[in-house]
Amino acid sequence: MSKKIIKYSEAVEELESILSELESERVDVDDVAVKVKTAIELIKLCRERIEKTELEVIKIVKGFEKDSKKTEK
Amino acid sequence: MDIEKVFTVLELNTVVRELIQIAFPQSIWVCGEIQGLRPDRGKRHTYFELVQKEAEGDSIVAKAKVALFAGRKPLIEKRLKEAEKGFELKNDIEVKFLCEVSLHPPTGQYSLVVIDIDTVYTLGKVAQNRLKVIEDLKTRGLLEKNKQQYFSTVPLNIGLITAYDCAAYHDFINELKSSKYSFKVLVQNCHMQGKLVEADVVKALSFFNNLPLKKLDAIVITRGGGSTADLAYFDNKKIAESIADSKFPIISAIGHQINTTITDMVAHTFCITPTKAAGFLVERIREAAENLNYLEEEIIRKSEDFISSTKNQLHGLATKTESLSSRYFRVHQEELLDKKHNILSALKITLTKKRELLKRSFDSVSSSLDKIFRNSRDQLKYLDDKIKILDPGSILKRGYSITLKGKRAVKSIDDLKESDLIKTILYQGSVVSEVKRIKDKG
Repeated sequence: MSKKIIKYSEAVEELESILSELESERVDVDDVAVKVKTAIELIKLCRERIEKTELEVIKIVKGFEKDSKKTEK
Repeated sequence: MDIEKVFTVLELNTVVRELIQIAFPQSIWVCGEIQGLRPDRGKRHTYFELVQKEAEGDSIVAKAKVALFAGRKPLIEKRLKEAEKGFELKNDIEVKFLCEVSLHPPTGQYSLVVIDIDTVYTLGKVAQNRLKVIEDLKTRGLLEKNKQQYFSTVPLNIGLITAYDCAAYHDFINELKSSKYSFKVLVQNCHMQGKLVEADVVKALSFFNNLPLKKLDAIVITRGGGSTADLAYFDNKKIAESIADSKFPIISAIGHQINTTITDMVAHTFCITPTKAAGFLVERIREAAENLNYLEEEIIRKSEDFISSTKNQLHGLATKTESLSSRYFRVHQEELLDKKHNILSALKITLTKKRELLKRSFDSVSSSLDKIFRNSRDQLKYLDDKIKILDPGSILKRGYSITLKGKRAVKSIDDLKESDLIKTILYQGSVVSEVKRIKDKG
């Protein structure tokens, strides 16, 4: 979760603010393209965060992470 | 009895036994806490202690040895099984035994021999203690504390406390796996029944809580199936306190629909099975994913709306501008044409007037000129006639002549003397003569 700089919840907040700006038409036409582009990138980022990797199970032994099993069959 | 009587040990012990039998001819009910019970199955007889503790606190007031002989075990086990909530004999539980009080003279060992057990007492105590723990937690505000922890909208990083590889573990993991979401599970293998539960679970919770906040989204404690007796291990104060103090929200899937444990009560969320616990997490992420879809659709739609409304605005402005300026030009064009027309016609009028003026002037000048010229001509004719008359030539033609002396014309005899040479200019030619005689003027 800490690989990317922005937190998921922050990304969603920004998306919601972009949407509300568009709804209220408080935006300059020049900014619309930039904002939509940003939004699409953020959405992509969030989707990746949720769906990109397969399930990973790590067994803790004696306080350490050990026996990492990725993509359990 | 003789004061001088000296007892042997056996004699003394025997007397004491008899006294005990007199005091307690029947079995008596004795209550206390089991201690020193070792999980030694297979041995015929079981020995432990019954302990009385202080009302508040843990210090021992008194204790007595207890023997449960093999012959009695079937009855006791039956009672335990038939209890409303089955349980096992284990340390720290409060029990009420029907006992024979006995003393074994050879050893001097005084002990209670178990005849029967009142399971209702134990259950009552268990329930009482359970309620006490709950009340205590409530008073300290710990029952709700974990419920107030922030629960991430995308709980992908999970700390799992369970018996590794057991059915509950597999149920939980498989449910997460089939969701296809990017879960990451850190598993702490713990005893989920028996007296090691408290230590293991508290240690596991402590381990997870020492991780940085961003490393975990939630902790799941789960066990599957098992008897209700096993659930009692989770009516535990220390575990409840650890859960309440946890900085991560905890999902508890320990108890069943009807029997929830204190662990379930203190946790953020209670699920009745490991599968449902996993389902809870999956559902949360699914909602987040749907929200993303919604945001994506809406943003695209709104931006398209916005762009097209802006376009329409522009279009409207353009049309309006065009029609206004057309109208302006049309109106002004008419004006301009009018003006042009007016100018031209005014010009024409002026020109016509001026032309007339000119013509009149010209005419008058012309007629004046005529007059002038006529006058001049008349004058000239007059002068011409006069000149003709005065022309010496015409005079000469009439026979007159001009007499010159030298270059001067002679007008008087005074200018002459005899023998002057004079030139006489006739109408045709000239004569040079000499003055012969001068006649008097008179």
